[in-house]
Amino acid sequence: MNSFILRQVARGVLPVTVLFAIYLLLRGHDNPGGGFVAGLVTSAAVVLASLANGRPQILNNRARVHAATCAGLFVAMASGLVATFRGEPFMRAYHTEMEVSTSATYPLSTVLLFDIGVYLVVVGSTVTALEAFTREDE
Amino acid sequence: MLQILTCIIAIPFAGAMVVLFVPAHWAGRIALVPPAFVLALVLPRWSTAAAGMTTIVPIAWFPSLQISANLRFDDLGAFFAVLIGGVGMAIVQYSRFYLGPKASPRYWAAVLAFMGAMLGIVLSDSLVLLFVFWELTTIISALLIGMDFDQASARSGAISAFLVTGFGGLCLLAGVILLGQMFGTYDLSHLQSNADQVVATPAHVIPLLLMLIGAFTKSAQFPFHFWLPGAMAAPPPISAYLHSATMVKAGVFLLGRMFPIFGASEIWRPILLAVGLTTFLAGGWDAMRAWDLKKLLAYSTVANLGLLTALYGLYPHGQHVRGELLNIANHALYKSALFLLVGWMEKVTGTRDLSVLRYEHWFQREPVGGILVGIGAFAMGGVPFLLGFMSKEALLEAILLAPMPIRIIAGAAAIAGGAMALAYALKLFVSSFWGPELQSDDGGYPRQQISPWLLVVPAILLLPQIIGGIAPGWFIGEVLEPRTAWPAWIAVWHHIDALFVLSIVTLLLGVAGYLVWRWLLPSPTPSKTESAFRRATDATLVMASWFGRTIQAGGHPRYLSITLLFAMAVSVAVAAGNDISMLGSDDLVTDQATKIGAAFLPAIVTGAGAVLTLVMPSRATKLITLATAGYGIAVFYVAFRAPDLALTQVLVETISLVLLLLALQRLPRFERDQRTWAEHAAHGIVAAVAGLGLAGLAWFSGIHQVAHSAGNEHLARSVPEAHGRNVVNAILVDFRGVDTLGEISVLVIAAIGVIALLPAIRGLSPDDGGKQS
Repeated sequence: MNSFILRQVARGVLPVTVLFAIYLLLRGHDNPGGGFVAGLVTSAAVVLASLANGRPQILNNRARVHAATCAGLFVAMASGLVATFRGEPFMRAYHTEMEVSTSATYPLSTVLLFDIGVYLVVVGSTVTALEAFTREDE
Repeated sequence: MLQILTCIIAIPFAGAMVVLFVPAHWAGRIALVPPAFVLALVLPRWSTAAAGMTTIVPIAWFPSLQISANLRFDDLGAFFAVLIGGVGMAIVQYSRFYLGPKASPRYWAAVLAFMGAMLGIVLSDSLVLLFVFWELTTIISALLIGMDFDQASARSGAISAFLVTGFGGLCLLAGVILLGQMFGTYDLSHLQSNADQVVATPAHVIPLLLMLIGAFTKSAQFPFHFWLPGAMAAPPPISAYLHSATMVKAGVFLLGRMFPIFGASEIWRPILLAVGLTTFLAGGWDAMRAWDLKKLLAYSTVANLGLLTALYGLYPHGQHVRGELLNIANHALYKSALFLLVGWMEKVTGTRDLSVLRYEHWFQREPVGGILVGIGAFAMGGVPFLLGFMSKEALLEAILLAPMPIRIIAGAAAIAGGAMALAYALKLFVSSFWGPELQSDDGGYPRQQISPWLLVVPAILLLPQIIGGIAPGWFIGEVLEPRTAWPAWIAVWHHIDALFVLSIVTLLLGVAGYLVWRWLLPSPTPSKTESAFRRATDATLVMASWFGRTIQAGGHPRYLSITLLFAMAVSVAVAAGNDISMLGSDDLVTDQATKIGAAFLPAIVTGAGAVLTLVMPSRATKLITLATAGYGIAVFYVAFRAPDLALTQVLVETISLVLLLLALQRLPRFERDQRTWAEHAAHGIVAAVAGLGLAGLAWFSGIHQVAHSAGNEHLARSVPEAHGRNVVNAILVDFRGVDTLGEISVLVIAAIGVIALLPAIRGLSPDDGGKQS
């Protein structure tokens, strides 16, 4: 699809969508959102970009997409292994509060790390499928 | 002790990681370091372990399931650790000079990882941990056998080894789980101290049989023994390491671990003796008929493993086993040395085919190598003044101590097998070195290209054979098995008794057997058991392809029908098992009647989408109307206040719509509907059954009074335990986090599948299609 308007819209929407996805990812523990949904939002942004541009840059860097997918799985696993190394059962979660400003704190936890892993895997596998379907026949 | 044991297991794995990232000419040198470390850590602790000290290191793993990751350091484990480290170091040194530049970092990494996995097996007290390392050795050994993957024989050898030992591994897992469920522990030491209780339970037979299958496949026992000769496609150092000294010994090791637990079981002795002695004789017979020197050694390994298995059936239960370590050490040392020497012979003579070698006179040209092969072969044949002789004495003694019917049968088998061992040992030594013609220097590599290390390494491995043969009282009685009360026969010379007579008879029969073989000189034929395996695998493949054609014939409608009908049948079966009379209460339904009004609009949208999908002519419009139905469901979620579900539903619907539309571009155009009326009706019935069935299922689960609601519990525990107010997310990433981990693993596997399958569909290999990946 080669449309000037769609291309320009996609250029503007893509960064905003990714920011929105990260927002969903970070708020997921207390409000609707989370790694899976955030991953789908990012994938939707990539789908939009690929529809607008034919093939966006990200699809040409296959190795990086694959690496991100694997990294996601490793991050998720590592977040569970934290507990193992502290002598507790696999996947026990640890929580702490990070001071964002003098008045507000943000909860940090190994669960967030796990969610980031889920996010990376979801994005990676959807983009891999997308790339495979839009690949030009060599 | 915890640090030491984890170091012993972790160092080879760490070394495997390191060698992948260093220049190739450094990799071989670095690969020497981990086995040296292992030896340095284990050897100083050998004397205490050999004296009977057992150290258990408790490590919690899944305490709620009674699964531990306990480690254990005792005489059997320490002995194997020395063997794995020592032979491993020899193998690495030999490989450096044998393979030269052909030894890639991948090769070193696989060898070291294998070493680590083996050490993990022998130092585990937890059966679950042992199983994990057990499977690792299966996988890595298949990689090592198939190292030269451009050769068909290497590929088929790797596949058959993987299938057989992998099957055994699954049996072992089933046995371990059953055992753990029955006795509430997965720890060998606990099971061992409760051995009476274990054997008193009649059901112990099932896990015992399953675990025995695991041990038998690993150590190539009849009828699973065919994989080992096939695995000889690997380079000689790998054969020496995996298929003589370590991996096949893992099965023997498992028997050694099971013996204190199951030794008193009434099926233990008959099974082990029957399988072990059959293997002993079948392997010996195949070795007599072999013409390829490596195959000869492989079959003799099969025979010797049978002997080790039979020994565990012969030993009286409840006592410390006499000669256990002696027999294992003896076989591991001479067999690995002989494999390495055959590798050297192949370099020197250019062949390892006995039908060629027997015409060539090599002893004059290569006296040193000849003498080393001779020592190894005589150890194999059980000739006096070598450790092999002592090992055979230990076997014969165990047989003489056994009760009566076993004594005769096992004694006859031992004499026949021992005679065959000497006969094929002489075949290996005499026939390959003393042929009639003096050979010129063609065929093999030039002498100056062959490193002296190819002879030094086997010589070092054979050294304990000579020491143990000349000073058995010191070597066996004090170093190897100080805990055992040794009788008088453990000396170079002892008085003439039944043992001595049996030994002499065996040796004489062996020489006679060799002479008969020379006189008959049968022509080379492929082994019967191997061709039987090939027939069996061929038959399996034929059956698999028939099954595939029948079940997987034709397009999607058929697959969908099978899947849907199966799912419905399972649901109905489960529902029928439940108490339907409980489903009477309509409270929940009336309670939600207020919401049904809100659900009116999305219901219309969803229904319209579904109906339109049926009547629309083209695929693309069908997809879009189907998506409409999906969006309608999302509105349902909004109406019932499930924002997470709504968000996910909308996104999944959108992305899958786009992906499906993209996929449609690649499919051929929609043909006109050519289905017959009967097919139409059949598909309609399947659809109706599936749809109504699902609706019924939803209805039943909706009105079903839940005795104990998981949802309320999660709601209550979400904030205090998971620190999250979004209970859906708390369940996903915290309460059921391991499930999610499994799901994202499936996602990654699906992505790998996409990468691997799509280019293949278009007739491109992944290498052509994905240059960057």
